[in-house]
Amino acid sequence: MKLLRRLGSALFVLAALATAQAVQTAEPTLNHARRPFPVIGEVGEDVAARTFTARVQQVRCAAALKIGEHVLDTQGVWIVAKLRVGARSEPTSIAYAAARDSADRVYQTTDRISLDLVTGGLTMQPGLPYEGEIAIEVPTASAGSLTLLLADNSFDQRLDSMTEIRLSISDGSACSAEPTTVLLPKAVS
Amino acid sequence: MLADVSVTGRGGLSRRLTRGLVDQAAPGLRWAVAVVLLGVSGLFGGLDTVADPRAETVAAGTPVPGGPWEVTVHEAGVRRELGKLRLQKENDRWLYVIATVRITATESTMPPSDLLVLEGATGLVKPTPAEAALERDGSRLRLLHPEMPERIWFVWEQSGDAPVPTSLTISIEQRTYREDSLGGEWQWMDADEKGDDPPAGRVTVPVKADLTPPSASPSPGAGPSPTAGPSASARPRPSVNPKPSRSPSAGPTQ
Amino acid sequence: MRGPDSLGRGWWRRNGWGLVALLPALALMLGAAGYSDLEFWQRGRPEAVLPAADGTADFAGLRMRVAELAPATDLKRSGDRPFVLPDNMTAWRVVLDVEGPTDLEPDQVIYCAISIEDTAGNRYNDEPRELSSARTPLGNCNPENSPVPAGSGRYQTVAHFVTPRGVEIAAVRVFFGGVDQTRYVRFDR
Repeated sequence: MKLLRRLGSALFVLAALATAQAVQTAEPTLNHARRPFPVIGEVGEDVAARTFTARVQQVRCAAALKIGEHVLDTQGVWIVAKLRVGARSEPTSIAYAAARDSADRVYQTTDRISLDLVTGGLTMQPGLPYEGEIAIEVPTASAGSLTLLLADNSFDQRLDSMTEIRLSISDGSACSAEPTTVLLPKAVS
Repeated sequence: MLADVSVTGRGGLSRRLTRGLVDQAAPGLRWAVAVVLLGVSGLFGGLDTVADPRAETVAAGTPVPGGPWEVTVHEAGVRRELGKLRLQKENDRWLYVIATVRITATESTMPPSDLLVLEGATGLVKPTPAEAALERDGSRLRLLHPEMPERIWFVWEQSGDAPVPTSLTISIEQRTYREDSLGGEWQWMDADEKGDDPPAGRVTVPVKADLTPPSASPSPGAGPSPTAGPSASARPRPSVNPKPSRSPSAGPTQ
Repeated sequence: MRGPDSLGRGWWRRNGWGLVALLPALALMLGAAGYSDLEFWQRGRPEAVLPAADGTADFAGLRMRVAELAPATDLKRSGDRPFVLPDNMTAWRVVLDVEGPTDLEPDQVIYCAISIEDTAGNRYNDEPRELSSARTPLGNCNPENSPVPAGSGRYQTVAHFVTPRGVEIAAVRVFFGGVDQTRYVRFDR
């Protein structure tokens, strides 16, 4: 009887340990808990994040970029999106832009050319939006399943809003073979 | 519960404490408890086989996974001239390593400057590469994107007084996806906080020496001459272009 | 210990003062734990310090008043060529009269950030990108940037802003981040 009771309490301890382990593994990780708040929208509509608004006006893909006299090629395709972005109630800038594919891989905007519009270099005042283009290099197979992500902080997008705009490209192999240019940011007047 | 554990004796306190606890819970069952504990730790992975932490040395052409990246070293060589790169001292030479870097993390990543560390080469002007450039267009290595592998030339300047190595061992830096002990989030980081991780792997490659005398015909300004040597013009050379600047892009366009 | 003790006191009688002391201890604990969060919160929403009835405000060791808040139509580029804004924008000039201590050490200079707020609550920062090719002084409360000589501690600081055309300005905000990040001086118009 005494032995049975001891075995019972040993089992109880084991059960408690197993439960604790199960709770710990079932808990979402901090990365998940602190993920950005998505603001989802479509191409052609204004999407309002906490500090800025963004609209993808047009999106295209091409095999190369033409920057001045330089031609930048890629082993995948270049995604070029024309954006109209603005500050909401306080001056702000967009400092993070990337495209996420259906496999959850995230491709940041290229750093082979300077893209002031989305790298924090362009502070916008409320009511005075800017237009310009950004370029992202992605594998051809990913080009058909991209979502554009924009946020106002370059190194930490946690616990803040992030726009998620599904890009309207259906097939990466149908992209233009001609090099395309990238429009500089310009105040909308 | 701990009444019969003496804390006055010197040493052996923890042993006595444990024994006291065990005896309290199950007198005479020490061995049984030990076996159960071992079994429990086994349930949660305590008996799993752990990979040998010593880095393996592999041959050229073998991919080495280093956490967020995978590096395949193809070849190494030494040159007097390399594209438009300028040596700090005329007498020095370039050591280069050509490797394919593939980002296996899920987000675009900038490889660190010490991604490749040369072992067995003396007289390096700087331990990190003087230049790292994409082979296909000579642009400087910056962000690399997931699953878009690039062949990259890593270039070091070696003092002309140091011996020309016949082979190089390249150790490949690694990162571990782990919980940040400060913020509690999972990130690619050094495996331990001190940052002296073992490399992900080592690759030993023979060095192709192409040391055509820089001034066979005594022209002192050897830099701009376009043909460095027969093999140099045959293979693509990393001509490190400055970032294409798009006119005065900083100013407002109104 | 259950039941009355040797003096015949019950549990509540024995622990009464302890329970009473728990309340201030709890308050102290919460206050200490929440203080840094409270300050963080206040930095996000700094409190307005209003000027006296004569329009002057004393803050951060300075006495200041708004001498001018008006559209700036006479801006110049380098080489004295006139600076023209696009039609959809208005440039504003804010001039502050500042009176500081006369015996200020050179390394003691206080810096401020001036912004303006419109009637809809939108805030605009000085030195906007839109005015980057106009010649404007730094409006940072530093006497060295004063357009009038800083005699006897009196000087001016001049800041320029840009807003969409047709916007009404409601207030000038002066923020001294190096002195107090939880408050700012607010001159309502």
